[in-house]
Amino acid sequence: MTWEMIHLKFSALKESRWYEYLVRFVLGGLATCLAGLVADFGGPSLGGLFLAFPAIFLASATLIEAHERRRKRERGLHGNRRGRQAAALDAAGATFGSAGLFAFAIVVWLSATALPFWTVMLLALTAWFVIATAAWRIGYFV
Amino acid sequence: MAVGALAFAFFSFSVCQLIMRLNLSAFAASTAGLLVWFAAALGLEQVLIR
Repeated sequence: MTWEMIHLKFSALKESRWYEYLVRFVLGGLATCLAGLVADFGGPSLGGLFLAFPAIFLASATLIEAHERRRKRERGLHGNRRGRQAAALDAAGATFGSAGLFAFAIVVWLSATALPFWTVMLLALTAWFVIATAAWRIGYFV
Repeated sequence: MAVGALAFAFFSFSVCQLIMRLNLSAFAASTAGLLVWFAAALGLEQVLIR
């Protein structure tokens, strides 16, 4: 059994163009505004629902597919299959990440009225990290 | 948000399956997956919260 370490790859930042980051920031901002508007009109419960709206995912998965295809085409290959595989892996990772998001929400739900704000955030972020990493580890070996 | 996270899990799993099994592009699969997210989010919200 081999363990693959999670590591940062800063060179990947150079592969994206500035407007690709802009698209992600704008979509993320729009999703946050949408959640706020929905909360104003439909209540905090419905607003919280839209905090998990997959706005950035659509742009990210499309860009990942395009990057992988471009990389393969630079080597004279077609790249369509590789691009789709990379996007599918991104989606699989997002499934594991959603387990962490679920844990984050549960911790905030249970402790928001009993503990100070920053304590709640620290606990929730810790829960997110532990559960998301554990889900990824389990998914990696299944 | 917890219900939204469950809906997101349905969404991302279905996007993964649509890409791998039906060979859809990432954009087409994600767009189709949004329907899954809306259905799961609003359905689970009705069942679990209201």
